[in-house]
Amino acid sequence: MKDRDTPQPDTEGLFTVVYDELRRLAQSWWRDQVPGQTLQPTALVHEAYMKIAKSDTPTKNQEHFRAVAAKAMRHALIEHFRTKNSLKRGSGHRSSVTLTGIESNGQLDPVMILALDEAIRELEQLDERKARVVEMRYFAGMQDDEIARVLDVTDRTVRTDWRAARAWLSSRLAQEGEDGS
Amino acid sequence: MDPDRFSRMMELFERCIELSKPKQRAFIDEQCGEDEALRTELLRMIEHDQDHSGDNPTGTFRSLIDSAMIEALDQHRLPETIGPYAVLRELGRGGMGVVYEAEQDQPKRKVAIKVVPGLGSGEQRRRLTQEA
Repeated sequence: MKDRDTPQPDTEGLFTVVYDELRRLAQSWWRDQVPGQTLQPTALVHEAYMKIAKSDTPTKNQEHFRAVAAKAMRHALIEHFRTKNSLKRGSGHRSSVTLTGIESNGQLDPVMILALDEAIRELEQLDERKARVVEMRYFAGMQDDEIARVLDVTDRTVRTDWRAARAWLSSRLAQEGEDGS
Repeated sequence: MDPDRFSRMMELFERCIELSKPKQRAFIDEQCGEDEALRTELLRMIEHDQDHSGDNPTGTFRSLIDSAMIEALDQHRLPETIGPYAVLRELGRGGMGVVYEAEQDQPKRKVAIKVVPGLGSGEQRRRLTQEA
C-alpha cells in the first residue's frame, strides 16, 4: 500500500460500501441472534457480498470483493483496538505484549492485535504481495486458489508466500514478546 | 531491513524449507557466510515455520483474529433502549464513545445520546463534563 491508512483508489468506493455493510450486518446480527449461535466473520463477509452484489454495486468478481472486504475488516478491527488501547492507557493500566493475545481477565489484548497489524504494515513495505496474502487469509478467510486469482499468480506461489510470511510474522512477534517492547 | 535484503532472506527461506532438517543448518551457514544478522533472522524464521514447530504462535493468530473481529463488530451492536429512550441508530463513534440517535416517548422528541465506555477515570469524566 502506498498510503498507510487509505485503500487503493480503485477500491476506495467499494471499500466504503463494504465497510458500512459489514457494520450494518453486524448490528442486525446481534438483534436477531439465536442464543448459542456464534458470529462467523467469514460468513458475514459472504453475506455482505450477497447483499451488495444484488444491489448492482460494480464488483469485478467475488474474489476481488472479498479482498476488499478483508481490508475493511482489518480497518474495523484496528479502529476498535486502537480505541480500546487508548482507553486502557487512559485508565492507568500498564500494557505489555502477551504472546497469546489473551489477557488474564480473558479479554483480548489490544497491544497484541496492534502489534500484529504493525508487523503486517512492515511486511507491506518489504513485500506487498506477501502482506496481501496474509490479509486475505486472515481477514476474509480466503483459500489459496481464490487468493491466486486475485493476485494473478499460481496457487503454489500463494502457498509459499503464506508460509514464509507466517514464519516471518511469527518470529517478529515472538521477539517483541521477549523484548517486552 | 531494506526490501532487497528481505527478498534475499525470503529466497533463502524458500530454498531452505525444501531441504531436510539436518541439511538446513549447513545450507544457512554456507549462504549467510559472515552475515550473522541474516543467519540469526533465518534461523528464527525456520524455528517459527509451522511445518517444523508444533506450537507456532501464528497458528493461534487465526482464531485470535476471528475473536478480535467478533469483538470489533460487537461494538456496533445497537442497544434497544438506553434508560427511557428507544435507540434508533448510531450517529457516530470515536475515542470517547458512541453517539446514538434515540427517541423519547414523553414528550415525543428525538435526542442524541452519548455512551462512554466505563466512566473509569477522572480525566474522562472531566472531558465529558467539558463537552457537555
